[in-house]
Amino acid sequence: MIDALGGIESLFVLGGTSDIGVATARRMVEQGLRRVVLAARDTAEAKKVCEALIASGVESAESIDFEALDFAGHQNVVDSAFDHLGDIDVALICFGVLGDQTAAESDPDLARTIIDTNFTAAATLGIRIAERMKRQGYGCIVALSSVAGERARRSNFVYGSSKAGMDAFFQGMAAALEGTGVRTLIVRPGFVRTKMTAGLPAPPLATSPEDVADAIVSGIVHRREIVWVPASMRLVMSVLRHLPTPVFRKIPF
Amino acid sequence: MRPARVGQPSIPPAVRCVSTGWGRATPSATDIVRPASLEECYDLLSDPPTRGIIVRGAGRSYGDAAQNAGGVTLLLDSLARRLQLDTARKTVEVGAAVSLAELLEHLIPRGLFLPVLPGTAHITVGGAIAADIHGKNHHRDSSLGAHVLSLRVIGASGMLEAERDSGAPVFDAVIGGMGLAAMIVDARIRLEAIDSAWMAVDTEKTTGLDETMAALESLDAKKRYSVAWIDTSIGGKYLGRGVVQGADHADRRWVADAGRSASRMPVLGRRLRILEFGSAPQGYPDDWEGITYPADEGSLVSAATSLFEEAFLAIRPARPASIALFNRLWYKKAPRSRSDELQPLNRFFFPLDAIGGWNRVYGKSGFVQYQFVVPYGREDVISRALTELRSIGAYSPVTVLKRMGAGSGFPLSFPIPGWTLALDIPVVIEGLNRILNRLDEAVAEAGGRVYLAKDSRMRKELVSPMYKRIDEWREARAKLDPEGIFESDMSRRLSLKERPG
Repeated sequence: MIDALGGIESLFVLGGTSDIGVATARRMVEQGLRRVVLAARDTAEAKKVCEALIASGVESAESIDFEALDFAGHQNVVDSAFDHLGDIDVALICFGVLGDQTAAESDPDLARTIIDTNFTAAATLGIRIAERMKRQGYGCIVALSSVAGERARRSNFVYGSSKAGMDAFFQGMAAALEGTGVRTLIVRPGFVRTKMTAGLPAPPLATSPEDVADAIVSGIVHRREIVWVPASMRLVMSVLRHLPTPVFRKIPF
Repeated sequence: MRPARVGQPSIPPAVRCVSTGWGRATPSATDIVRPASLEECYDLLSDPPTRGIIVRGAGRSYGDAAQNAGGVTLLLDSLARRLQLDTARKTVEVGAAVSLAELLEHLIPRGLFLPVLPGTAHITVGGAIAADIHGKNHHRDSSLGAHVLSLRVIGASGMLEAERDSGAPVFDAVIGGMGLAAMIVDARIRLEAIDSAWMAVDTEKTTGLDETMAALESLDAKKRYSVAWIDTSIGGKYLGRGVVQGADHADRRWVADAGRSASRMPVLGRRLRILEFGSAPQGYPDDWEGITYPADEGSLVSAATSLFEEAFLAIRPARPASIALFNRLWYKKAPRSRSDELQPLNRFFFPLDAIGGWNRVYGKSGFVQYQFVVPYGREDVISRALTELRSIGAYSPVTVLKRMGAGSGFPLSFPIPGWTLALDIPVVIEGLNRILNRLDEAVAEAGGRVYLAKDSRMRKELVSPMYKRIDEWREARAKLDPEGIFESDMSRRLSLKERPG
């Protein structure tokens, strides 16, 4: 059960070896997390993370093979997570790819891979998880969106549009889930220093996976539907969103 | 098997609703079922839902005790409403769904009174027994369980009747059992005689914790009721200062001399209802606290009501600064010392009942009520709790310190002889979880416990160290409900029914 102060017993991470997924699991262990399932493509790495989580005090940590683009296998992944965990308090959807923007602009197959991973797979897994959570009468689905979805930019609009689609999907799902006890939390981080962004220059307001984890944990306690990381990003993006297009295009990041 | 009735389903249709406790901090969805007959209850128990059943009274438990995520929540309001007074023997047989306010309306005009009353009249008899509630007279009259003479409950195998001291497992399993053993149908309760509907109240303002405790201790011997309100906004040498009250029922002649009517019936309903936003959609009872029925189609009126409610919740009037200010003003306003003030009974017992929906002042994410008891000699835990909560700005507007006497003897019942402290704290306070977890450990180490009827956040590992007789309760409970049909969010969260593995 999720207690009044956001204490969580069971966590299901899709994208279980992502820096944000691991940081969130660690943060929740400090708050008393007992059981965790990590669904990840890199099973060997996921096993290592599980061992580390067990060493830090969780009662059980399991890894499941998960490939976002294997749509036929999704239901099995979700079912086996529920089999391992019983009731799932929080499901964190944090897998995704940044992709090669320049290549994707001229390669429709590559563009489709990015969009299918970040949007189609995340949204359809959201449906599968919500259906199971409705039966238990409670639960929180955390969807890792991005500020890149707020306004399309020259430098990453394939990624950005996939996150925009995912973000809109979970906004609507939040409304559809009213009255079911299940809720959603959309997380919109700015630039996070992770494996995914390694090698890219960090812009102002860059954050760490731990900052995102903190925002997720506090968003659950306060029963928010959307959190920005850092919180000031909300204001920044609101300004950027309303800039005239020629001006917006000249902004260097 | 009972023959099914033709042309009508034997189990009444369920409505999926979101329910929460009075603290509004742990919402979950459940199927609300309102059986019209005992028959329907038997049917439900013979084919129980996979996520179990909990009976909900008035929804006044602060935490998740009367919630059952994904399972069935029973409202017995159309069923358990018996009320039979025996004025000669001074007893009442009363249905579990009858509220204390309704019961008192029958008792007070006849000069009778409940031996134990909590801080609100808007709870049900069933809920009161399931939590084994206590009141301001605990130091001399123990908790409600000590006054229950007999019980009728429905366990997994059907109706059971038990007399006090009959050795049957019913009393041990049900009194203080958080509704996890059986459905309470009705109870026979011993009553007290009173001379008027007025209280004679002594008030004394104190300047620190030692003085507050000493004042309470000296009142124990003199007064039937005693309680202290604590100013949580101030520390140092003023830590634990407050307003101590002692009271007895006022004598009829004295009330008449003061020009009052001794038999005047106090107002037990809510007078101010402005915070109870909106109303239930057509066809649903609108007085069920903490249950959100499926909404009708949207309308401009409901959008406007919702805007008003959201704005109020967002303003969140109970913030650390305003709570601290309230504490200071309340302390300042209290008389330094006053004796024998006549107060209407409702003002003394149920001061907060005047404002319906006061729990909304804590905003969208709600609040927790933290109540624990520690044995005499461990006063240090009380001052530690006040100090540590103050250090993170976790002020509480309604903070109650009280001395407890002998417990009622039931294994999962909360009261033990010692000091009990109760505080209301908004969920949003940074660091609250950490501090409360530390305090839990201090309470357990001191031989005390946290009150389950108020809890929504404790760790399950501490239940056994606090409730050392829990295995006795588990055994009695399993006799009434071997398959574990009764289930709640609280029983899942704290693994109450089984030893955590």
